[in-house]
Amino acid sequence: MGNVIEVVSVTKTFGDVTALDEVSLQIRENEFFALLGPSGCGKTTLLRILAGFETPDSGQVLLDGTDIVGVKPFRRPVNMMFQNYALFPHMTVWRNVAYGLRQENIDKAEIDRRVGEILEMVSLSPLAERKPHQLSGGQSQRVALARAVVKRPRVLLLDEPLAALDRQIRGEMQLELKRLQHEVGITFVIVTHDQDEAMSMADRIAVMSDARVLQVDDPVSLYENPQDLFVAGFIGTMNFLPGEVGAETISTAVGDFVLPPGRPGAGPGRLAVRPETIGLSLGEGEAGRNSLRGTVADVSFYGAMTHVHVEVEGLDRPLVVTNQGPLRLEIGAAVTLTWPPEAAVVLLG
Amino acid sequence: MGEVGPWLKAHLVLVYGFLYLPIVVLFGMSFNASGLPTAWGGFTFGWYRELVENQAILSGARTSILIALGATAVATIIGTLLAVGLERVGTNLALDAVVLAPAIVPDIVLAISLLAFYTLISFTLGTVSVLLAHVLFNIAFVAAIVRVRLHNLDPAMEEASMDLGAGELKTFFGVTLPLILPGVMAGALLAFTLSLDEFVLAFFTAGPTTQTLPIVIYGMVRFGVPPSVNALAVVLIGVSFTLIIASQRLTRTER
Repeated sequence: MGNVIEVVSVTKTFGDVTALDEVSLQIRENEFFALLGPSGCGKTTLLRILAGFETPDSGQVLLDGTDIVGVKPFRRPVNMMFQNYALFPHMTVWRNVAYGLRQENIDKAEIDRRVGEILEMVSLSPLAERKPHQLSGGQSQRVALARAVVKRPRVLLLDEPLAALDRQIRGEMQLELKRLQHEVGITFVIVTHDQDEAMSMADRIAVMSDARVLQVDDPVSLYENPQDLFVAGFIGTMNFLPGEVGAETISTAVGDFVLPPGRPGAGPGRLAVRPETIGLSLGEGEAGRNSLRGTVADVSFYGAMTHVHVEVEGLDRPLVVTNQGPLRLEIGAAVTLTWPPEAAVVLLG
Repeated sequence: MGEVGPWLKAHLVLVYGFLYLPIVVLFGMSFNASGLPTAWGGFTFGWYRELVENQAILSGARTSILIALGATAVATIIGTLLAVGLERVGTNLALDAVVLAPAIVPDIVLAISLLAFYTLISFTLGTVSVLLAHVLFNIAFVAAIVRVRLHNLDPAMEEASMDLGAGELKTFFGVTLPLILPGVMAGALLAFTLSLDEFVLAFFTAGPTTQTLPIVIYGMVRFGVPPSVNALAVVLIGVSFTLIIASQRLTRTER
């Protein structure tokens, strides 16, 4: 699959604030790509650069191999779905959706056909004559989506598309977005601060922090193989054991642990262990390598999952262990924790 | 609003009395057959009839309406564009001050400087010179009102329009203008009202043959107030109130 978009060392500053610092990434044809990061990380600025609302200070933005820096938003085959939807309040749903097509040289019958088709696709045909203020949040969201998709852009940009929706319909909309993306076969680039949203929808995710892209990977790789401390901590829950990385082990305040294969080098670092990879056994098990003794500090039962917080002497924060299904544990009970070395990740820094 | 105490209520009545009693007196006088402020001579529509038969007043009204319409049209277009430009520039106190100045500078100062300027460039005084003078101070009012509306406009609206393929001009006429139209209309109504009863600028910049309605009235009251002027004043108040109320309703956000 070829790249639709290539961002090449793009830098953007607003006064003293650096919004993007030498950002580079590639977005492939037909993929659902997410820009994920906390607010203020620069993800929205990057999206607005792709749309043409902001111009980078330096760097290139290639669309199908052509640099589009400086090309006006209305001359780009790229459409955006705005965070607050930005529906035109003085136009009906139908006219909102037809607006983009009317800017092109398309005859009226063709416009009517395409608008009708897309409204059918997002199940809005009965509401075509409504004005935006007569729509619910979910309906407005679908109008905004239809209005952007009907232009058949090369790339659809979505700025926090689900942020304004209630929790209940958000899950529904995630599925609908994925379905629509498959149906229309357009590259989607979504900006979100919600890691669950990015993980469940996107084919690949760029994790951003402090104006930089830290890692671009598919959700599973990001989760299992974070290349960066921030990424490891931002995606899912992670236990960190700080220490000194040596040749085969990392020495921490609570003992030495075997390094996973593929060592990153030596120096100060952290061993990162996912809660579900840690095995928990009652009592003082054999204190071999890669095991820890602690006491149960807290147990929370979520039905399918049990989260156990284990206090370990020498660590300032309890370790989190998750277990499938219910687990009967007394608070204060002595437990032993172990994990296979290859399940952990070692990160320098 | 909560409970209003008796003192506050008394204060309110006094203020409103101070503001509106003269108008009430005028209103009564316009129907007073005796024509004297001191004696009630019975109810009559006579002064109003006299009004519509007075050629000077009718022609003054015609001139005033003509000037007001022209000045409103020009000032509304320029003022709206000015507001759009100012909003793009963002906060610039110096620029704001320059734009608002014509509305704040005393009329008499503006009038004298305009007269001096017209004389300097040998501009013929008449309907056009008054119209231009009215455009000058109306621009500031229109721009101020439209700016409020523009300021409340979500910038994403224009971005969405451009994103969908509309150029700057199409975006302005297709999205921006329809959304700020209530503000533009309000500005236009205010401009029309201000122009209709404007006296000082018209007095200075009108030639000897151009008589706007306020100038005609001024000529009539120089030697005592003829009762028909009361009737005329009531008509003018009615027109102004209607326009101002319409303008205020438009500026109120309808959501």
